[in-house]
Amino acid sequence: MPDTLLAGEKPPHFPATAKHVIFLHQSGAPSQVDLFDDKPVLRRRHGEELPAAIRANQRLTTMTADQRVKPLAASPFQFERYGDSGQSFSKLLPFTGRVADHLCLVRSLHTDAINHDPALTFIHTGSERPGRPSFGAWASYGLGSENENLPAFAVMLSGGAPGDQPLSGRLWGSGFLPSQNQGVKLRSTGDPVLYLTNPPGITPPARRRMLDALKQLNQRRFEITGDPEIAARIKQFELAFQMQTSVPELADMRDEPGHILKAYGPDVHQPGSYAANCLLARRLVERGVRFVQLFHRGWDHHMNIENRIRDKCRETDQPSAALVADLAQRGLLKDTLVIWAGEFGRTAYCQGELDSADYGRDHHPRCFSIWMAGGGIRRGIAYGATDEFSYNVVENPVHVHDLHATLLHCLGIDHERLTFRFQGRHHRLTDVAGRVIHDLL
Amino acid sequence: MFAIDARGAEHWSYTPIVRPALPRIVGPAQSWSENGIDRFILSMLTTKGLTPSPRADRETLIRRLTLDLTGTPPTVEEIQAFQVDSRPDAYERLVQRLLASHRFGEQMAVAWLDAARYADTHGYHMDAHREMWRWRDGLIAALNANMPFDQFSIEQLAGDLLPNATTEQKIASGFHRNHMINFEDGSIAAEYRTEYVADRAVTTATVWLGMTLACARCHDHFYDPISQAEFFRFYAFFNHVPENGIDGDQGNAAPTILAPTAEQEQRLCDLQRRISSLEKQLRDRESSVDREFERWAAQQGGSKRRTDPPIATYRLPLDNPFGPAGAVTVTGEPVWIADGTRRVALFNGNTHFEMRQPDPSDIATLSAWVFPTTRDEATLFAKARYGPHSRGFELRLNEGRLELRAFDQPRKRELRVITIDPLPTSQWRQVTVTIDRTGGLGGVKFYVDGVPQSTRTLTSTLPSIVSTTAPLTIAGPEAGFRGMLDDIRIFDRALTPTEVAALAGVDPVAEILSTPPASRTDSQNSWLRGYYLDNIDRVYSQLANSLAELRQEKRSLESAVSSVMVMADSAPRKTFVLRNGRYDAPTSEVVAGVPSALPAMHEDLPRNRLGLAHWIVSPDNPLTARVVVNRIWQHHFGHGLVRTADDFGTQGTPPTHPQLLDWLAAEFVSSGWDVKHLHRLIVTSATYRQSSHTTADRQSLDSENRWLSRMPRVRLAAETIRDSALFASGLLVQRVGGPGVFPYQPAGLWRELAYDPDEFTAQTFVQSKGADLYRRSIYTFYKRSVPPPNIEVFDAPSREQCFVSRPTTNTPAQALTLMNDVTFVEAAAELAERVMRRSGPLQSKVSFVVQRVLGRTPDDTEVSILIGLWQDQRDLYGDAPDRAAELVTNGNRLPPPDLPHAGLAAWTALVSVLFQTDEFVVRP
Repeated sequence: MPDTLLAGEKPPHFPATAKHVIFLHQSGAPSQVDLFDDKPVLRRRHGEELPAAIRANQRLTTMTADQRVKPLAASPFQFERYGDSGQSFSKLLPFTGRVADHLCLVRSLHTDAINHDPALTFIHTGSERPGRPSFGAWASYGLGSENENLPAFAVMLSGGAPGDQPLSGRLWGSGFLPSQNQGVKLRSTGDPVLYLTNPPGITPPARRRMLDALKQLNQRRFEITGDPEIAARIKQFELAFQMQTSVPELADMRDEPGHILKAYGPDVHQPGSYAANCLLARRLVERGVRFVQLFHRGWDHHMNIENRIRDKCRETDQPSAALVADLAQRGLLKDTLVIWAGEFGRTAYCQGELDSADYGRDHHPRCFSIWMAGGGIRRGIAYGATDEFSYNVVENPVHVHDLHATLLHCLGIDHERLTFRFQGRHHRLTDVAGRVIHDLL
Repeated sequence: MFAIDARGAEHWSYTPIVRPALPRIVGPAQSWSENGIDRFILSMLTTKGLTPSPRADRETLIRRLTLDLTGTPPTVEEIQAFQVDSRPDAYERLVQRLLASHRFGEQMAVAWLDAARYADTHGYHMDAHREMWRWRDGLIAALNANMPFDQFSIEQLAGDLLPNATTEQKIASGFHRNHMINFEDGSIAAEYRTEYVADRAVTTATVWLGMTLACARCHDHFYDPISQAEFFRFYAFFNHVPENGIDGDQGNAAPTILAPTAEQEQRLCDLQRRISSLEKQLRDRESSVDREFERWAAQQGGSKRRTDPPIATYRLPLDNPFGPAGAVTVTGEPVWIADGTRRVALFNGNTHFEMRQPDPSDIATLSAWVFPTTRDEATLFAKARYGPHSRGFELRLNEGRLELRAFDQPRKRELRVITIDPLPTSQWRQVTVTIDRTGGLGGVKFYVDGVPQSTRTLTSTLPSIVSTTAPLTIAGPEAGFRGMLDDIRIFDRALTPTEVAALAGVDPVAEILSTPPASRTDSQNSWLRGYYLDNIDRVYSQLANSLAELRQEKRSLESAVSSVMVMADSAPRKTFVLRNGRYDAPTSEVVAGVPSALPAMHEDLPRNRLGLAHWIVSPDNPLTARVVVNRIWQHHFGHGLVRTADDFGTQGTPPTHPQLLDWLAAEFVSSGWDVKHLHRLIVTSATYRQSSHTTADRQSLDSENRWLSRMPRVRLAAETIRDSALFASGLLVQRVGGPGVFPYQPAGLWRELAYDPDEFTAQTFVQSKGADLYRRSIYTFYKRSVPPPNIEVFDAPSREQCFVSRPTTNTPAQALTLMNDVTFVEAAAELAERVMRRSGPLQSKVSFVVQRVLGRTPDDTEVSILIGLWQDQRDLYGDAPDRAAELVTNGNRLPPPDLPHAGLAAWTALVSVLFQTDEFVVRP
C-alpha cells in the first residue's frame, strides 16, 4: 500500500466547523450577469462594443474569438435586494432570496480553463488534467465516513437533455487514491447503488443464509492460510449486506412529511429530479455521509439564454433554497457546508446577434459567482467584486484553489498537509497553490 | 556520466547494470534453490533470520501458474493430469504449455493496456468512440509470438519510422496515439496538442525508464536530475505528428491508416483485380462499338424517343396541403395555390417543411421546380443542426446562384460550391443537384432545366459532405425561402445527366436524334454515344452494371475495414521550453535529446523517435531492463522488487533485492530481451513455488512479506475475476481479437452522462448479444468516462493516463458485485446446470463444483458447510418455485425443462457463494 496521509495523526488537523459538504454543481456554467452580479452599466451601454481595455487580449473560446463584434448585453432580468442582509439577486431566484441571510455570496471566483471539460475537472479535482482524485474523494480519504453502512461520498445526477454538457466519472473519481474513496452514484432508476439489489429469485433470508456459509468458508480459509486480508473481506460482505437495507431506507422518501415535500417544490415527487436529489442530500448528511455531490446539467446557454436560464432557475431555485432552510431548521446547517457553483461564468458580451431574440453568452473564466451556506462560512455577506462589466475581478479575488483550501479548512483539514504520494511526489487537492480566505469564515 | 541525485550521492538506478555473482549458499538450503533467483532470495532470508516456506502442493501450483500465465483457472482435467504426472520435469512441461497458450498474450496484454492508456473512447468531454482494437490485437499477437522486448519497444515507439515499415509495424506505433483526444467546441487546438505531446513524453518515461518526468514540465524536477529544458528536449521527440489538436468527432483522429485484417486484405485484393479486369473490358468495349454506334445513330435519325423521368425515392408533389398525419411537419403557413396549370406551394420566408418519415439519410439527388421572388439568401434544402454546434449541409440560393454548403461550425470547417450563373427571379426553373459522395468536390453537380452548370469552389476546408441525423428541411429553417416551389423529388443515388434532363421535361436524346446525323455537333455526338452505351449496348451496360456492383462491394468492404491511429513525423515543429508548462508561454527553443543524467545517445542514432527507441533499448541504458524486469516480477508477486514500479528516482522505494534486480536485468538483456524466458525463470524458481500460507512467526518477522519467505497471495486482476467465473462455468467464449464488445452492465450508465446521443457515438450503451456477452474481459469496450463497472470496481484504472501498477482494495462495492452482478449469477446458474447433469452422490457433486471454481478438492469441513447450504436453499426454493425459476433464468438463460428448479436454484446459490469467496478472487 502507498503511504497514507497523516500517518500517526488523527484528522482533522484542527477543529472543524463543517462535518459534511453538499456541493450543488450547476453544470454548464450559469451566467453570473443574469443571476448574482447586477451591472447597471450594462443596461446603459447595452449594444456597445466591449471595451478593448477590459478584454485586455485575454483568450476567448474559438466560439466567439472570431465573432466580428462583441456587444455588451444587459441582463433582461431585474435584480432585487433580499433579507436583512440586503443581498442582491436576480428576480429569477425568489426562493434563494428568502434564505439570503444564510448565504455567503462570492462574486470574485475565477478559474483558468475556458472550456467545460478542463474547467469541470479543475473545480472537482484541482487540476485541469485528468488523473487526480476528486474533492469528495479527498474528503473521504482524509476524514472517512460517520456511517459505515453508507458510502462516505455520494453523487447524484439530474438534467441531461440532448446537448447538455456531458459529465465524466472522473469528476467524482478517486484518481490515485484507494478506490473506496470514489463517489458512489445514487441512481433514481435501477439499483440505487450499482449491484445493490439481490438478483431476481434471491430473498433477504436466502442471502443471509448464503452469507453465513460464505463467512464459514472464508473463516476456514483464514485458518489455513493465515492471511489477515481474508478477515477484511469477511467484513466487506457484512457491510454490503447492511447497505442492502440502509440504502433503500435512505432513498425511500415516504416518511417525509407533506410540508417538507412541498417546500422542495413539485419536482420532488419525480425521482432523479434536482429537487428529489436535494432532499436526498439532506437525508444523506443526516445519516452521516461526508460528502454529497449533485450535478444539475443544462446551464450552457450559448443561445437563447433568456428562456433557458429561466427554465433552469425554475428547476433549481426552490429546491436549493429549501435544502438550506431544511438543514437550518434541523440544526444541520451549522456543520453542513452547502456550495452552489458552476465551473466558470459567462461573458458580459453576447454570443450571436444581439438584436435576435435568441442570443446567448459564451464561457467566461475571469469571474463567476457562487454561494455557500453553513459549515462555518459567514452568513449574509457578499464577498469580492468585479468591474462594471462583470468581466474582471477588481476586489478580493478567489481562485478555485483558494476555494478548495477554504473548504478543506472548514472540514478541519490543512490543505497543505492532506497529501498522497503518487508517481514521485506528494499530491494535494490544491496542487502547489491555494490560500484559505479567512474573510469568508 | 552517472547521475548525482539531490542528496549528492550516486543514485542506484542510474548506475550501469553489472551482472552480480550468485551468492554462495552453504548447508542444506542449497538443495532448495532451483535457479539464480533463489540464491539471492535465500541469502537475504538468511540475513533476516527467515527460512523459505515449504513447496506448495500441486493443486495450488497449477492454479497459481495457470492464473498468472493465462488469466484463467485450470480445468479439472488439467489439475488431475498434473497431479498424476510423475515425470521429473512435469512442472517445467506445464510452464511450457502455458507459455505457449494463446491466452498468455491476452493475459499479459492487460498490464500493457493500462500502461498504454488504451481505451475505445477519446476520454475528454462527450467521450465518443475511437477504433484502436487493431493495435490491441497486434499487441496480443506480438506477446504470443514472444517478440523480443527491444524490437517490441522499437515498434511500439517508432514502428512507423522503420525502413519499409509493414502495416503491422505502423499499427504498433499507435501505442502513442492511445492518449485522450479532445474535440470540445470552443477548445484551442494548440492547448490540446501540447497535452498530447506531453502525455507521450511522460508515458514513455514511466513505462520504459521509471522516471517521473511529469514533475519537470513546469519547473526543474525537485528530486531527480531532470531539468525543465530536458523535459522539453524529450518532448521534442514526439512533437512532429501531423495531428490537429482538436479532432476525433468522427472517430479516429489524424493521422490514421486503414488496417484491414489479413482476410479483408485478401478480399480487397481479389475485388481490385476483378475491378481492373472489368474496367479494361469496358474500355475495350467502348472503343470497339464505333461501327455499331454509328449504324444505330444513323438509323435513329429523326425518330422521336421519350425518356421517362426516373422514379424518386421520396416525392412531394406539393399539389395539396399535407394531411394531418403526413410525413411532413409544417412550420409557418404555406399558401397552396394554382399557378397556371401547376398546383404549387407559396412560401413567405417564415415557412418551412420538415420531412419526418422516411428520413432520407442517404440523399444523393435533390430536385425541385423553383420560382424565387427575391435574390435574398434563401434555403432550398437543408440537412443540418443549427446553433453554436451547427453542422450539416444545405442547398441554397446565394444572390440567385445555387450553392451547396456543408459546414462543421465548431471546427470551423466548410465546403462551398456555387454556380456561376444566377437564376432569374419570378420564373420557374427546374433545379437539380447530384452528390456523388465518393467523388470529393467534383462529386457535386448542378443542373438548371436539365443543363449542367459551371461552378466554382468558394471554400473547401471540409473534406466531405457532413452527415447528421437532423431531418431534411425544405425552404428553411434558416434563411427562409420566398417564392414558389413545386414537385420536389429526392433520390438515394446520383442521377445521370439524361435522367436529370428528363426531370426537367427535356429530352436531349430525342432532340439530338431529331437533328440529321451530319449536322450534329461534337458535344451532341458525345452525349448520344454515352446514351447509346448506357441504354442500347447490352454488352456495355451489363459490364457497367457488374462494375458498379463490384465497386459497391469494395466500398462496403472498405467501410468495414477498421482504421487505426498511428504515429507519423511528417509535421516538423520547433519545440520551446514552455513557462509553467503552458502551451501559450514559449521561451527558449530546444532540440530533441535525452536527459543528461543518462548515457548519451550514440552519434549514429537519428535524433528522432526511432533513435530514441534504439537508445531506450540499448544495453547501456541502465533503466529500461531494470524497469521492465521489475514489472514482470510485480506481475507474479503482486509487488515489484522496487515497490514504486513507476518511480525509479530518488523518491521511489529502493529495491528490496538490488542484486537480484540487476541479475534479472542482465539476464533479460543477454537472453535477447526474451520475455517468455524471464517469465519461465521466475515461475520455475523455488521462491515462486513456495506455499503462500503464513504463520504468526512469519507475520511478525515480515508482515509485508518483503523478503518472500512465503509466496504472496495476490488479489486477481479485475479481468481475471470475471474471466475465471465465465471459464469455470463453461460460458467463456475464447475468440481472440476483434472490435470491443458490450457485455452486461446496468442500464443507463452511459446515457446519464452523455452529451447528445443522436449526434455522437458511444453515448448510449447497446448490450451485445450471444457470444459477445462471454468474451474475455480484455475485449470489453472501454469507455473512459464510464469504465465497465464490474471491472472498475476491482481497481482497473480509467485509462485516462498511464498506469503501471494497480492498487488492490477490498470494498463493499466489490462484495455487492460478486453477489449481484448478473455476470456472476448467470455463470453460477450455468455451472449449476452442469453439476446437476452429473451422476453421483451429493458429496462428489460438491467436490466437482469446488474443483471447477477453486481448483482444489474441498476438505470435510467445507463439504459439510456447502451441503448444509445446499439443503437449506433447496428447502427454501422448494417452497418458492417462482423464486427458483427467477434465479435460474438470470441473464440470457432459458429454464432447462428437464431439471427441477428448486435443485437448480440451490446449486446456483451454492456456486454463487463460491464465486464470493476470498479464495476465488485471490491467486493462491
